[in-house]
Amino acid sequence: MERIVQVHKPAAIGVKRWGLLLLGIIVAATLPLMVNSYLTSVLVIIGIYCITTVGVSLLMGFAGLVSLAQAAFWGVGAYATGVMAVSFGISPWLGIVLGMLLSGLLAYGLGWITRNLNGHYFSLATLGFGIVLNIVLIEESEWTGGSSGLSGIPGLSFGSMSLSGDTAWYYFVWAIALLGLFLCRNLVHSGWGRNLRSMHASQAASESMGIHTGRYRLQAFVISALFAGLSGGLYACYMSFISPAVFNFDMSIKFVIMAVLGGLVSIWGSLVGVVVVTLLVEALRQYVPLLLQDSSSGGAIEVIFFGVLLVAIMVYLPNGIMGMFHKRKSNVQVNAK
Amino acid sequence: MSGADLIQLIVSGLTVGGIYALISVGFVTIYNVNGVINFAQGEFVMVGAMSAATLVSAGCPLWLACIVAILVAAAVGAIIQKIALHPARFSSEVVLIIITIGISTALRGISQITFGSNPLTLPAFLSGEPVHLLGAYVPRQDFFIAGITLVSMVLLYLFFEKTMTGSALRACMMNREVSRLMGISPNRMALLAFGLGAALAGIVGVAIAPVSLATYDMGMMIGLKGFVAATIGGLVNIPGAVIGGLLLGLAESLGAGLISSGYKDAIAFLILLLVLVFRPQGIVGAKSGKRV
Repeated sequence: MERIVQVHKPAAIGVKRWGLLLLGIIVAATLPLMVNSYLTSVLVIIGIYCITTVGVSLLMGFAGLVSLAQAAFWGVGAYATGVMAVSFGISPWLGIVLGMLLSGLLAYGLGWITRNLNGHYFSLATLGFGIVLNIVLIEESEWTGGSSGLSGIPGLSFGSMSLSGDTAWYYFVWAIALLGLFLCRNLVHSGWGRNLRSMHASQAASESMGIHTGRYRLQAFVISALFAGLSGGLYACYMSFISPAVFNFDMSIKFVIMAVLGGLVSIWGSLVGVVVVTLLVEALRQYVPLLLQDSSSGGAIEVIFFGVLLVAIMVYLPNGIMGMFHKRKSNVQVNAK
Repeated sequence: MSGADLIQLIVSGLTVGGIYALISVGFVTIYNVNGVINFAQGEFVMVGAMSAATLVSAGCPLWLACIVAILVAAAVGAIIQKIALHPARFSSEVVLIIITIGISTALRGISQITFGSNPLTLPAFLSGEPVHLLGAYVPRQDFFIAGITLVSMVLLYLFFEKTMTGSALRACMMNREVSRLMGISPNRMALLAFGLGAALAGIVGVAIAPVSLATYDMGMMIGLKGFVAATIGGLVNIPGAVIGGLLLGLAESLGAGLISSGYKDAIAFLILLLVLVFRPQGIVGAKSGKRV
């Protein structure tokens, strides 16, 4: 009997998409030439956030898991790179790789012990893990410098050429971020990604089709932590100073917000979400005080704006910004209550 | 570590545990009727504490200020449910969670503007020297906290078990669809749950403000502890939430006293992880159909 084996290939990118992509790359390449150095540094940070958010987006949009520990994995990457470079003189390149592996390993452990938890229970477990890890960073001050932070982390260099200046960092970080985005895009369009999505749609159905759902969600969780670890290592080298306050629960929430606001319908949503949220925060910081001509309570007004906008966007655009452009696809679930 | 120290730790643990229990009951009620993990729960505590402190400093008598503050917290909860969560009730869980996060962010900003960013004080109901009890020194305000917790618990019990509305609310917590068939409006119950949850948080705010001061950013940690307590109790029933709160308070106080005070907050979340891994159905109660 002849067996027909169908090979799953990643979906090809259409001509129109290629054009759009080319335009995007041209704009991205020329962007640092057009804006001032402050804005360039914001763009570097956006790129670093984007690497983490891609992982979050993969985990939430395709595996259907909400992790509230991403900032902790991010912090593990950053602190592993920082501590190894500062205390042991290990090259930051190696440090970033080891930090990624450490994040992945922790995610594997956490994912394995929480393998039976679904929905809110998984989110609460990751919330607990993230907060515990953050407290560890504060308390183990012998290594991490405690709440006053860790400074003097060396930057990156290629051989004798050191990576200095915001523009150089911009190209470097965005090259990695785009690579990560493409990697994730191909992942979710592969057979692996289809299995993941089928799991999100119905766990029971995909199990009955022979998909080992536990393994897939564990893999997705580890991948998201690897991305977070990489992004953390880059953050540590770029900032040269890290403190536990950056890697707290608020930041984990922010990563989730970025992914959801951008839209979980596509992996590109994570990029859109990071750009929109970061630029929104910057714009509020710049323009709200001008609008009110009162600098005393500026901080609070920004916070209110941000909160209210968040609620409004989620009420009116529950599928995020990318959701507006996508026709309602089957992988977007609308719970009927 | 002497026996008196141990009693001291247990007494303070139970007091804090009572606080956690109240937040956790509100949290469980909201969670089961609205289907949302309410990240704004801690902010309701803050609203209660800040409004009470502001009213008292404006010359309002203490008891009146407290009642008004609790009503303010309940009203804020109800309004939020109506304008932010009700329109989004068909959205996915993640979207609802983010909405509550947005609300808590906005509430923090609003109260920073309305009440200022300096810590506010509220006079204690029972002031004076700590009471000597079984070798431990118990601050008088702790008796008030314990008392108000007990009274609230009794009232909650009467409400949930003996009144028609309470039974309807309980039915809605168990199964929305079937309770709708019985003529209970889930939308009205969702509103009631938010009001009740926020009122309980307001009571907590009023009770702890004299001890911990009222600041605009006090809500986050206490709200999260409420989740932990609710999870220990299994997230689905009210007695579980109460027991979870008391256990959490005790564990935290003993852990801080016996192990390390720096890791005090970590203990709570470590317990959360352990409970989720080993007994996701909660410490109390058997597996129910609604679980995992």
